[in-house]
Amino acid sequence: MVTSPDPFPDGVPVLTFRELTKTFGQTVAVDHVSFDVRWGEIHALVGENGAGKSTLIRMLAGDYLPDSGDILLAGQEVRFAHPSEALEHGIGFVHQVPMFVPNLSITENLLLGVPFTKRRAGLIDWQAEHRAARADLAAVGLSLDPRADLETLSAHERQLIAVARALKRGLKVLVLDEVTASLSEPEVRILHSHIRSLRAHGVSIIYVSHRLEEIFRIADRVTVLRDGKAVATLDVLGLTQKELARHIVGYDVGDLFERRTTNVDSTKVPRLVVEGLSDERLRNVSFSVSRGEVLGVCGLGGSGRTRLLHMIFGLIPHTSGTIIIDGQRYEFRAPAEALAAGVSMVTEDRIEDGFVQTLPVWQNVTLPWALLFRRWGFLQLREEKRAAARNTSRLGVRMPSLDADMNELSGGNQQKAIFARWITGPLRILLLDEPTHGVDIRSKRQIYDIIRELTAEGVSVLLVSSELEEIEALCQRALLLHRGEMIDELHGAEIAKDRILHRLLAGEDETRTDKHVPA
Amino acid sequence: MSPRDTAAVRHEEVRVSSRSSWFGQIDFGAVTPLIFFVLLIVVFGFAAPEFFLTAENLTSILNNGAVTALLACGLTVVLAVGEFDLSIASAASFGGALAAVLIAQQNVPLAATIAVVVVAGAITGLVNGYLVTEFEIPALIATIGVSSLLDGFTLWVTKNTVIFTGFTDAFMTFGNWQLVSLQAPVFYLAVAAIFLAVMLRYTATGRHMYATGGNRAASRLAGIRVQRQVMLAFVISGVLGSVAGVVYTARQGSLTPLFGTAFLLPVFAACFLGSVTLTRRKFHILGTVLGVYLIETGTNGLLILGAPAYTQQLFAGAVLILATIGARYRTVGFRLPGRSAAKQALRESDAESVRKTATPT
Repeated sequence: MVTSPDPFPDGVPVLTFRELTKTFGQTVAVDHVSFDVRWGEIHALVGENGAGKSTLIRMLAGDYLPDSGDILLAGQEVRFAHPSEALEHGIGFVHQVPMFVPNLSITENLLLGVPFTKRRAGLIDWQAEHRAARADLAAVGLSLDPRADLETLSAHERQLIAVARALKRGLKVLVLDEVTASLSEPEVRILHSHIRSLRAHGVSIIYVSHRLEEIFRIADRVTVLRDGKAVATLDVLGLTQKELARHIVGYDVGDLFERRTTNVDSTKVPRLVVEGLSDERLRNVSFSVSRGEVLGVCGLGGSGRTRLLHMIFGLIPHTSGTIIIDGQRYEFRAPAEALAAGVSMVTEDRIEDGFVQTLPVWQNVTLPWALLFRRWGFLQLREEKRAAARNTSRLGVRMPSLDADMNELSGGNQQKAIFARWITGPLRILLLDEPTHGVDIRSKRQIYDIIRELTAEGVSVLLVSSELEEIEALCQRALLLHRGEMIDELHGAEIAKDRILHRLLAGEDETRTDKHVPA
Repeated sequence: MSPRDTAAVRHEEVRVSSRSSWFGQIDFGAVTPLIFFVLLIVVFGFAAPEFFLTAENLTSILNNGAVTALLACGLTVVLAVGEFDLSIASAASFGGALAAVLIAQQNVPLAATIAVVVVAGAITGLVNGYLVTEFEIPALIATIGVSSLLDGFTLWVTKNTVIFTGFTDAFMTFGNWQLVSLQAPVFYLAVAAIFLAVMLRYTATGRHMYATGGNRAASRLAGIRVQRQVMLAFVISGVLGSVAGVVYTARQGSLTPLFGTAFLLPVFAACFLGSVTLTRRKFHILGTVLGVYLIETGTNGLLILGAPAYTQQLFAGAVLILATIGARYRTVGFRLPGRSAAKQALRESDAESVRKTATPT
């Protein structure tokens, strides 16, 4: 959806990139990139991982100096040597994970790097600061106590505070770098409405996102980077998602979210039966999953969807309820027991708890299965490595070598390596928590294919995703969770983004009418 | 399929190399400490050929470094699980004191004495491990506390006196037997080092320890019992530390209370030096042993050249700092230190991967 047209007349664009180039050693990260950003427009910047988006933004921020080419701000050539200089010129940045000091108050975080209002004797006037902070929060639609510690806030509140902090400096251009990556759909909507109101106030926005669908909802124009080059700058109006994806990847990828599911034989004994699962947050969750079925689990932040996966995986205990796998009852007290029973889990944040940075790729693949490669008490390293080689190449993991560090792999390939880990051991049920988080289009596609391939082999999947298109594309059925309770179960064609959202938000309105939720 | 994809397929050909992966990927910078080691030997060899490059002197280097290396091996395991053990030197003091008192004053036989010391070391390790895993006290604080407790016990059991009489022949032999002029501690070291090196590389326990040290949350989700690994590492270091104390006391034939303290810094220096030897920041036994002997060779050579005793400390400190800086620069590619950590991270990856890491995921 594209909203109101550019309120400012064309003339000198607010920001122009002219033949900008940056190389690292042999690699040209940004290759003669030219495009401009108009006053008061939302300009999306898209491209796969490694296409050069970050390098470009870091040059704008003054984090890198360009090798050649210029950046013009309102027609004036600028050259920033330090992020503070970009800020002084009215260019602000909000990143995927905003940098905050969690145990300081909201006010203190808003004021990081800004001079305090001082009373006489050089003491900080906290009352004045808190008052000002309240006004700043109101500007982004938050009504919070500015004395509260930042760590008490939700992810989207933090994002909004990061926006408020950027706005404090009277910006011309605001760069939003993957700000919605960890937000749920309603939170994204709230953030988007604020972004639009910023545009109405004449702030130009550079919006970086992996989620193509968001580009269509919010952006006026979009610039596509591929292999360091700006391949196109397009008006979003009249553009289709398929076309955009083709520009990004360089060839026709077809419909990324094409719904492709197989029929599941539900007459057999179900793979997983969960009955009345409860603890202090989840209430009486019951469902079953057949062999080869993908069951989507949808819910807003705080709905307990991740908690449900953790409970099945044995990470957190349940107070009542049963878990039955292939007719046998299980009571996992630790992930090790779940793994032994063929239940594996892909977590949302692979850097945090997905892989071990200090171990090479192959040892990350065999991480839980070292014991399977033991003979006479000793690990058979050759065999282990061969298994890692087999499974990584089956899933098409691109890497310099099996001995490479995990951080030498792109996000998508790291994620594929983690999938390769789970197919190395016995696998009956795969629990997926946001499996394509921070993964580029090509890898996303490959991960969907992997999921389909595994289910064809009889593996059952529980898929938690904020990207509802993903649920649409992959799931035979979808559970809707709201505040720890199952509110609906959708089948087949009923699984549609709008319908899911409608149900989830309806549930939200019933219980949260007291809370301030802008359109 | 596009041409780009076929290019991708080429990348995907996975080679299972037969090359040793004891050290993961070997790069030139990782052998710098070794080159320095050889250089030391050559320089000292030329400077004082009649004293330094003699079989006698070289074996004395081996003999003198053995106890330090024993302690360092224990510490390596704790560092591998991502923890810290500052009590290891005090464990050595206490182990030595316990053995001296039991043998010289209580007439306990050698085997029983060693058994008692091993149990005491294990208890030390369990206490450290318990404080760190159950009470989640940072290892730095927990092990300083335990270290002070152990020193207190040491002074208590020895009544703060030097013990140099009453040692049995069996005890003296335990620390002083020789084979081709190599003394007992060298052989104890060989046994412990081989055992631990094999454990760390060829057993599931070792793999799980490294995984725990690398990312505890990910390891736990991969079904590894991380607390058990931490516990075990502390027990290994406690036992090895205490036994090293007994070996030292037996070799010296006398016990000065709190002798262990002098070992603390060299042991840590050796482990950190070892972690950048042959590997990129991975604690491993071979590196640790090489680290100990590099420092030992340097101090020995300097003494032979007539340098005053304090140069030992200067040498150990300088080597540690330079080696660590060297390890940093080889991954950074000999550029000046960067402004931001993010930039640093980018530079640390090689040119090919810059493109991949350039975009945050």
